[in-house]
Amino acid sequence: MSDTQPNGALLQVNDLRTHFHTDAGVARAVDGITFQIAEGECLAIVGESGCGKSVTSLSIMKLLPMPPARIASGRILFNGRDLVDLGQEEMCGVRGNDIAMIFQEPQSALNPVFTIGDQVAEAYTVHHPGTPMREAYERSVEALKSVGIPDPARRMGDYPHQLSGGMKQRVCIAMALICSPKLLIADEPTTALDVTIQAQILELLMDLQRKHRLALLLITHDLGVVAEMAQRTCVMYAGKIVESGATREIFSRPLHPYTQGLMRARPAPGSSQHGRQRLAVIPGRVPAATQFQDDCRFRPRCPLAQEKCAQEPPLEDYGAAHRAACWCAKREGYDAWKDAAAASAPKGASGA
Amino acid sequence: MSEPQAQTPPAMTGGSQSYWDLVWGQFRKNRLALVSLVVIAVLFVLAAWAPVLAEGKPWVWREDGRTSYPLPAWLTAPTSGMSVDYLFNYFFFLTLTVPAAVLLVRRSMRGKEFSAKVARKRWSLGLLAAVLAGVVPFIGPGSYERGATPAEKEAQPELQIVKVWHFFRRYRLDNRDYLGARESLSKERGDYAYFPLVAQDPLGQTTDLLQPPSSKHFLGTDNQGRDVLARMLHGGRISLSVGFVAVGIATLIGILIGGIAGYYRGWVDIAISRFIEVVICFPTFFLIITIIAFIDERSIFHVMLVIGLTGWTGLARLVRGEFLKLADQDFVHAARALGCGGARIMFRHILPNAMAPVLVSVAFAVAGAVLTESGLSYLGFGAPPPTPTWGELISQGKTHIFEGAWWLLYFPGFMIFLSVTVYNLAGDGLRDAMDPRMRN
Repeated sequence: MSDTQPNGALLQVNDLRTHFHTDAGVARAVDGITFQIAEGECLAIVGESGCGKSVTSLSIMKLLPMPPARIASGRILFNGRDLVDLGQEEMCGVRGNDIAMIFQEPQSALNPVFTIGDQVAEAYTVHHPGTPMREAYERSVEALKSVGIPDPARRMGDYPHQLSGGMKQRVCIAMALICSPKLLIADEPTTALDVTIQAQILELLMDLQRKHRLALLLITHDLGVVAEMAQRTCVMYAGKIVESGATREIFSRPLHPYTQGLMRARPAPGSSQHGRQRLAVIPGRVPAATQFQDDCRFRPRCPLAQEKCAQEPPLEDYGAAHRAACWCAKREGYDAWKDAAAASAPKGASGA
Repeated sequence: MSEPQAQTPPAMTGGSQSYWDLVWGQFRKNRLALVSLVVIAVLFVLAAWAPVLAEGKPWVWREDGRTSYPLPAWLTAPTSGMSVDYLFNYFFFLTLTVPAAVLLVRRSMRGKEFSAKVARKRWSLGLLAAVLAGVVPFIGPGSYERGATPAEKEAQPELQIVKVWHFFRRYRLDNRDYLGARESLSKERGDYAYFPLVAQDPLGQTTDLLQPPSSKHFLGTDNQGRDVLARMLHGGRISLSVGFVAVGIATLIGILIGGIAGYYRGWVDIAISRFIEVVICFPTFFLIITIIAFIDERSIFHVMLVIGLTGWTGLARLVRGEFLKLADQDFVHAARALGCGGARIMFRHILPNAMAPVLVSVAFAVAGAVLTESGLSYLGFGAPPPTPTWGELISQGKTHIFEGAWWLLYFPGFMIFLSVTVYNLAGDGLRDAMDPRMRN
């Protein structure tokens, strides 16, 4: 498990807090998260909607609208440079050049009024001003070819609406990678695509990652994607990382009740002993970011909630760099949801 | 690593339809809008051809065995009149060179297969050549200065090619009354003169005051004996240029201010929006009259400028709204994630997407500006006196209404009606063409 101990991290996020100052109060959308990504590594951040995954990625890119949003504290070290201190001007030099990003919906991530060629070429010329048009054109064709677009020279003249969703996502990836960035942030890159295309795009990403020693920060709620792609995984809940570690480790031995709940909520063919079974759900939902308390934020939904949970549990190491933030996580081989169900079964009649 | 085969030009796919291709496809189906567009084009050509169609100077003048070309000399002389005339004279040359270029490019590509790239190259080269060729009559040593006699010209040795080039320009521009001198030409000496179709000077005063339409003055004369048709044709230049220049100014300001408000939001937006609201509160027409009343030596450019400087508010609000909407689109986030700066995102990524409603609004604004200019001229606040404008003709018609000078009201009134209507209809058609619900 050398993956779990990255040395010489490419991106190091330390105690990042991104707060939104809204009329309804301060929304602590990201509240003290720490993680790192080494060169060529794939780190997945998983969690439900509203957990702060996307805010995390946008904070790294500093793409959040800064009057409501504010990076309250923390450091984002990229290659030893703290991105938090950089001005917008300097960030423009980082974005696309050092850190690139692809978005959830390729349908809307491409400008409808320009051809594919224009947009890919622009992605290059933004960071290489004064490039002759011919060279930019050639590089664009090359980039489109490298993401597996058939007949790239012809596609250069097409408009986005003429391509399928998968092709558009490939174009987005080509644009993201044309300046050979070191880190690619993929914010739910396959959510808007159908299953077969998803697999192709994931394969392409893995392929490119290997080829270019690209670090990949994968934001997703699809555990299947995580299992396939990521060496390490962080589970986020309500602005905090509740569990992190090697992906294999987390899948085989989830420690936090939330992670266990996510695992249970996966549809798994043939896993049920009683034939067809209702999909397990985690009751309740993520609290609004303005309502985050200083207790364990999963407490209202947690089957194991107890007195102690009024205090925020620290992120503790349970061996092999597998960390979890739960007071109850110590027990070996427990299953929060089964245990809770067993414990509450006799009391069920009394209406607890 | 770029490989050579990557350079193979994209073949004609035929399927590459930009947004504007789609809009044009829809626009074409709207008969009324298409006709309006044609009428606008005709108005433009008439304005560009005004001196060619109606002018008191002859194309060719031969007297006493000497030939001169007063009208061509006038067309290209920078002192020939107002800058508006100068510009439209250039348009006149464009109406000759552009069709010629189109014919030549067509002919050069006839019967042969060309890739889209080569075809595009040829078209742009051809059109560029046409645009440049339109400038040619205007450049070079000007011997049109008053007082330069043929003898003086011969004293300055010229290269033969330059001589040919400035064929027209070697003849001096004078203020001679060619229309009057026409009578004294004698056939026996071999004198002749070729005048424009309407051989009437739009500025030349005659003694035929307030004549009704006749075979000499097709649309009658005004209270200083000037030909109404000639004045109307030249007045079209004012009307068109005021419409487009004033709206151009308003559009530039509107896009800039509205774009900044919509893109940066927050307090910038609040401040700009309040400012726009303040400006909207002024009654525009009276504001314009007030400003113009304070300009000492006003010209038509002051009118354009003032209409433009007061007319940007609606557009700014529209652009602000579009920018607010578009700045939240994913492709804008994607552009920012690629490292594009603010100005680049605003003008390269957002603006082209906001162009459609802006254009519709511009079409209506042009109609509004034409009306405003006519209104100002009618009230005597428009272009200074000798300048022919439609509103000024109507104003004369009002003064002489009891003398029954209906031709001073109806003909220019019809032109104002026609141009305002076609701009509105074209704008309407554009709006419908861009409405996705109208698509089948």
